[in-house]
This record gives sequence, C-alpha cells and structure tokens, in this order.
Amino acid sequence: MQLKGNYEIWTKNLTKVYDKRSKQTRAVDCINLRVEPGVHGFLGPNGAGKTTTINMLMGAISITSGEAYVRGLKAGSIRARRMIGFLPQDPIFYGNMTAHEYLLYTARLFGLKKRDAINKTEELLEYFKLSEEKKKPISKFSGGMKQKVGLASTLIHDPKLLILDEPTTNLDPIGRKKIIEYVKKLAQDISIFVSSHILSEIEQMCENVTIINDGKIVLINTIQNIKNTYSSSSDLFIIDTNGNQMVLRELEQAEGVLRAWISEEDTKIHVVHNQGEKLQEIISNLIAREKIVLKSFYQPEASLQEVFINLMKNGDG
Amino acid sequence: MEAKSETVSIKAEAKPKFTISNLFNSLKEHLNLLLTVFKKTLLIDLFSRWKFIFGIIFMIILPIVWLLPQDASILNDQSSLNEVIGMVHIFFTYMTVLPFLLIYSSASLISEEIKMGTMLLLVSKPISRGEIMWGKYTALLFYNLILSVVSLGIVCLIAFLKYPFNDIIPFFWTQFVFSLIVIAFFGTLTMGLSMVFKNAKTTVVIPLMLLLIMIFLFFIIRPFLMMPTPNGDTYYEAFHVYNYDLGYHFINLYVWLYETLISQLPEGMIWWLLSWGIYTIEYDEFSPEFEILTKTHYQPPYISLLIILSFTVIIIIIGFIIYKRRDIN
Repeated sequence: MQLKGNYEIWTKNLTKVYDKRSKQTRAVDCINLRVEPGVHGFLGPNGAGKTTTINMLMGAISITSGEAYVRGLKAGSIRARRMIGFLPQDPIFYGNMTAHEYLLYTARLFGLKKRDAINKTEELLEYFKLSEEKKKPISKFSGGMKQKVGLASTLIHDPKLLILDEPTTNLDPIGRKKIIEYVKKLAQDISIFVSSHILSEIEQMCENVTIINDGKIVLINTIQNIKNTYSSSSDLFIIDTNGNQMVLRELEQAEGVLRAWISEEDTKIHVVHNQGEKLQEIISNLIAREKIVLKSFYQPEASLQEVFINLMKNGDG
Repeated sequence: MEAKSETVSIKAEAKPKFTISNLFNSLKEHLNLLLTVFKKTLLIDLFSRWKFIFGIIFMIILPIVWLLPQDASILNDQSSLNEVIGMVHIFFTYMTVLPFLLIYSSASLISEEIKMGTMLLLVSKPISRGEIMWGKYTALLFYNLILSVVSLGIVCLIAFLKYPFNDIIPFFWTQFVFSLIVIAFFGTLTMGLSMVFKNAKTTVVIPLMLLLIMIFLFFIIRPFLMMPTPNGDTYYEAFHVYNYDLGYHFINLYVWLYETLISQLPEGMIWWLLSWGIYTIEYDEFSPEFEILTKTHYQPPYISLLIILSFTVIIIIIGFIIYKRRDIN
C-alpha cells in the first residue's frame, strides 16, 4: 500500500468533460495516474488529453469528477502550485517584458523576497545563457530562447516537481536538443513530469512512461519494461555473417523460417522466425557445418515508436 | 489498461495553526502578491510614455481651447473657473475622454490575457484569481486616477497663470471627486465585462455602446423628452426616464458635490444643467416673459449614487464569479 503523498502525482478517476452546445466531450476519462519520483513521461498523440490532464493538475481548468493530488496536496490548490514549476505547451509571454523582468515578476509571484528574486533571476539567466539578452524584449526572442526563459521561470522558486507540457514543440532540432539536455540535467535534482507526442524525446528523457489515448490511460510502465515486453514478442532476428549469401540460402530453406533477406543498409541477414530457440539451433549447426564466421546474432530492441504504434492500433494494452 | 486499484490512505493536508502572527504573515503574503500584480499591470500593461502623453492631451484639449480665448480684461477676482469651464470639463474630459481611455485600457487586462494565453502562466502560479483581479483592478483605477490628477492639475495651472479666478482650488476638488466616481464606475464596469467575455472586442464594444446610449443619446433626446405632455408634465417625468439616464445621475451627483463642497451653483452653470434634466424652465403665470429656473429633484443624490454603485457592484461580482470558474487553456 502506498500513500498518495508518496507519489509526485496521484489521480483517481480523474475526468474532464467539456459541454459545448449540448454536446459532451470526454477529454479525459477516469484516469488513474501514479507518478513516482524521477522523470516520468506522459505520452500520447495530439488530442489524447495530455494538456487537459496537466491543466487540471495546475488548477487552470476545473475537474469534472475524480481526485488529483500533487505530492499529497490537492491539485490546483495554492499550496500545491507553490511546489510545482510549470511550463505550458507553447507558452505565451508578455512580449513587452524583458527576460529579466519576467523572471523577477515570476519570482515575486512565488513569494521570493526582492533581493532573493534578483539573485535567483541572475543565476538562472546565467545558467540558461541568457544574460546577454536580458534587456531585450521577449517578443524579439527566438522560439528556443523563449523556451529557455520558460524553463528558467519554472525553476525560479526551487520547485519540488517540474511539469513540462510538450517542452520541445515548435523548436528546431538544435533547440530541441538543448531543451532535452537541460531536462536531463535538471532531472538529477528534481522530479519531472513531461508530456510529449515525440517518442524519441520521451525515450531520451524518461525512465517511466504513461501512455494516454482518447482520454484514457493505455499503459503505465518503465520504458525498459515496455521495450522488453514488446521485443520478446517480436519474430525478427538479425544475423551478421558479412552478408554471406550461402547462409541466406540455407536459412531460406530452414524449418520455421517465414522470411529471410539481406538488408541493403548493413548487409546483415534479417530472419522472421516464430521460434527463437529453434533458430538458434539452426544457426549453431550451420556454423559447425560450414565453418562460417558469425559476428553477431540478436533480436532488435523494439523502439518505443513501434510499441506506441501497436498500442494505438490495438486501442488498449 | 488502467493502473491497478489500490487502497489509498488519505493524508490530510496539514494546515498551519491559527495564530495572530500566522494571520499577519498570511495578510502580508496576500498583499505582496496583490502588489506584484498591481505593479506589473500598471507599469507593463497600462503605462507607456506616449499613451500617457496623448491621454493627457486628449483630456485637456477642449477645456483649454475653451479657456484660453476668454477675455482676461473682463475677468476679475470674483470670476469663477467653475462657471467658465466647469461643465465643459465635466462633459468632455470626464464623461467622454476618460471613459474612452478606461474602456480602451481595461479590455486587455483579463479577456485579452486569456485569449493571448498569458493568463495560463499567471493562474498556474500560487496566486488566487481574486488576487489577480484585485491587483489588475486597483492598477486600472490608479492609472486613471493619475491621468485625471495630472490633466486637472495642468488645466488649473494654466487657469491660475493666465486669469484671476477665485475658485481654482474648489474647482480642483469638485472635479477630482467627480472623476473618482467616473473612474470607479467605468473602471468597474469594464473590468467586470473583461471577466465576463472571452473576446476583448466585446469588452470594448459593450461599455462603448453604453456610453453612447446612456450619455450621448440621452444628451440629444433629453430636450425632446422634457417637452410637456398634454397632462402638463414632461415625458421624462411621466415615464420616469431619469431613472435609466446615467448622464442625469452623474450630473445629479456633481451638483450635489458642488453644493456641498463649494456653495450655490452660479447661474452660468445652471443654464448648462438644463440639458441634463437637473433644472427645468418654468414661466411665470402672470409675466410669461420671465423664465424661472427650477431644480427638478427627480431623484435625491444618494439614490443616484446607489444606482451607479449597485450597477457596478453587480457587474463586477458576476464577472468575478465567471472568471473564477472559467477554464483557462
């Protein structure tokens, strides 16, 4: 038994229904989130309900039914918000404010004393390499710089938990890389709940992941477990014998082999076999008989992308 | 697939004990937050050098143009500034330009922030929506108060330097107190509407319509409404139109302020007040060539104040309830 206070985020049957002209839309449907300390990814396609869930946790939108707690405090309450550093999806800043003014303003909203607010602002501008641009209006910043200001503002009060909603949206590849690096660096000290629809990014940043689709949770697990689970059920095997055509011919004839081919990219043999152990035996016999050099024999790890696509296709876990 | 169901103990949120020092600290915290929003709204959202300068120029232009051509040689130390520009200042500066400036500046405070997306960043901070509203509202009132004081100060200074008026200080006070009523009314109204409507344009259009109908339209049609009916009274009286006439209530209050803070209204001002329904002309039964200016007393000033106050309070309460419940995406 675990207390909800032990979780960074805990929800029970959290639901959001939008009423629009007598038409009801269940944007989030009875989700039970269990976010433990560390970096937790919140994955789902566009419109899955990620932002709605996060906005409910922040108190920006009302909860239709269910419960939500952040570090044991009622989600959306002022005390809970005080512990969170929140970066919304595609944040809009006051364009006529400078980065320095905006961070100072944020610090004051978190109740920091003037001197502390100034020190923390300077420190964060330095950390995110924005010191030289601190007097420039935010409206003149690039997307990446704006995101850095947003990230800096989430850290102004030394939060216990960061909630980042699609932090790399609308950024170029370099901007994305930088933000991911910052998130990974920050993750050494605080818990982070990060939403994204970009799987490769979640894979780089997170240990645990919750997958959401159509407002419902589809899967919660560690990324490694998900990959292991899905890779073990895969029938694809890769054999590196320096592109040996004779091995390919032998395998094509072998029992249980559904398909075999040499990849044009890396000249490795790809074999689809429904019994891994049987294939291992066939390969061992081939090596002994034909004295071929086997450089590697492995099952490719399923990428999170494959898992995600499968889950979305199946509709459930 | 959903997370496994589990038995969960509810950990009560430990609330701080009630002590005087905790109460003081909490009040201090709220005040600091309110002040933070106030300062940001005032200095970033409302104030810009050129906006301020143009605002002042618009506010003083007509009273100054009215004042400067006055023949200084016929004015003496008994001349009244109130009589010369009092009503022009009230009508143009405080009932036309100032409401326009208030409507224009307050539209962006809530509805525009929600539409732009900056409100999401604000409401996700540990600040209540009440503190956000009060911070913005007080900044709006303060900014317009500064505009009013500066413009009034300039008008008084020019009058003092150029002519020997005997009532510059009473003029300042009556006009200043009246401006407080106008600022409170239009500031509260537009702030309330800014919380009710999602679209900033609606927030601007509705008070503008109200201004046009309640002040200007009435100003035009009032003389016709004050024509006598076959029964002898006026349409204005017969249908109690004055109750819905915002211009009447404002001027009714101004007259009360003047009579309370200074003295009896000078005759020059009373002629102006005919067009606002405060005074009416009656003719002597025996000598009809004599016009008698009589105060109408349709409503006592406190009723006018009550009508203005209740209207604004209702709007802001409704606005706040809607804003507090609004989903901010």
